[in-house]
Amino acid sequence: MSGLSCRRVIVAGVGLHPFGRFPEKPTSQMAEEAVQGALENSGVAFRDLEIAYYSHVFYQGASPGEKLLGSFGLTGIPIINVENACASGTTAIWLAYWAIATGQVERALVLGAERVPRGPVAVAAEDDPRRFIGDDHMMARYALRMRQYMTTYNASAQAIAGVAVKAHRNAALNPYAQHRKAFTLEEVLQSRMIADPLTLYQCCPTSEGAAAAVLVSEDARKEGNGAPAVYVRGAALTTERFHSRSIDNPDSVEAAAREAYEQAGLGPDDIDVAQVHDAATIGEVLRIESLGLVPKGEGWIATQKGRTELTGDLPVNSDGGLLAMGHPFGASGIRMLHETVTQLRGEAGLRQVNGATTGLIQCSGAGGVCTVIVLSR
Amino acid sequence: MNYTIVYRAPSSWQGQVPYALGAVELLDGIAVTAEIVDCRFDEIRIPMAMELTTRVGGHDSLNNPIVVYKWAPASPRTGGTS
Repeated sequence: MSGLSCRRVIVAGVGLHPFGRFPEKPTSQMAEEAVQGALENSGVAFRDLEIAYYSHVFYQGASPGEKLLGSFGLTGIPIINVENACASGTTAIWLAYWAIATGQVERALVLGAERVPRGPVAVAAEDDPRRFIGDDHMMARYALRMRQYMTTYNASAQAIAGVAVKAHRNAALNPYAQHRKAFTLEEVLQSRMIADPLTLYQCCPTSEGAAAAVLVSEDARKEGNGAPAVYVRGAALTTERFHSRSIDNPDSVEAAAREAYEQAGLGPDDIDVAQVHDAATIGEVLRIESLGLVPKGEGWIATQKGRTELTGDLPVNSDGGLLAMGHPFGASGIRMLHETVTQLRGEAGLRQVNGATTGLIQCSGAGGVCTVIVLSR
Repeated sequence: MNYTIVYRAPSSWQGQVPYALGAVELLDGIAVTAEIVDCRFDEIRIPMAMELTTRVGGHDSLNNPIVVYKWAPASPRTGGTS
């Protein structure tokens, strides 16, 4: 996906339904509120959309996107259901971006809405023997990576747990977040053990929620709400290559980052605020390294020094991230887009990163999927 | 090798909880991840010679037993890998 002569793409509007648990509220209602928010925020009418993508992981019947969007009108447009594990939302954004950049459509909608069941997350299908080997457990895999990281770089569990303290502190400033309560490092380390050394507050919750965005070509942009235009500058989607899983091996995050930076004509030093896949505390540490935001082996040090705080030189997961904002799989990538657009417009209120003009989104998914999207004002 | 003790498991897991999960590196550098059996948690060491074994890991929806691989401490006879 390079070497094309591409049109510029703008995120015209974003909408969000709070993340959390909403037992009384159907998924369709959360989706409607997010879509309504994105339409109003963009100034684009539903009837003017030319394509829509619905990202989700958990089964909600055949063609759920058609059903969810039907209440807005039957306009005959292509509606595509997207499933790519935790990277489903960013995969939908990637598809919408390229549909507009290559001139297929002028206006696209992305929607993620989901209810994730409670309890530790496994990914193998029913009757898949991998369920019984012991490694079909996302947090157990992160625990192994954390132990390997700690050994390789002599990193402390306390420093890595600091990611969760920072995430909850940011979420406390975010009315849409699932966990709006700050925790001390002691509370994070002493919460229930899930898979040693990962404690409960170092693992993202399972969540319900919805997020939506309207992307448009530069030509199709209306003035909207008068906010500054936020451009998608690069969007890359990769999967794993075969290699031994040594911690120093280049991974799918590095490949996606390289491609997205190249498209954008920007590098890691240009990024003012980043939303990365912190399903577990160690996930954020590993990914800020793979993205080149900090050198290899120094993610835990950057965390310990406060560089990733809202007030640091490299704010990461400014809205609380998966750890505290919550993680309704299909909605998470679009939630990251919501936060990035809000930050780059200067509308983030108490969690505003001063002077942010460029932002980055990184989402990983089971199966070695990785998406990186670079945006700027 | 590397390992973790898992205290909370997904509902699809039919084995005991807690359990030990080991990532054991083969001689060519590839790591294979599986439950460590036949070993108390406090007996696990890094490095530790391991060998692959098989177990009935659970039953499918038709109640057929499903045989999968697991790691176990290497017997002196085989030597194992760590």
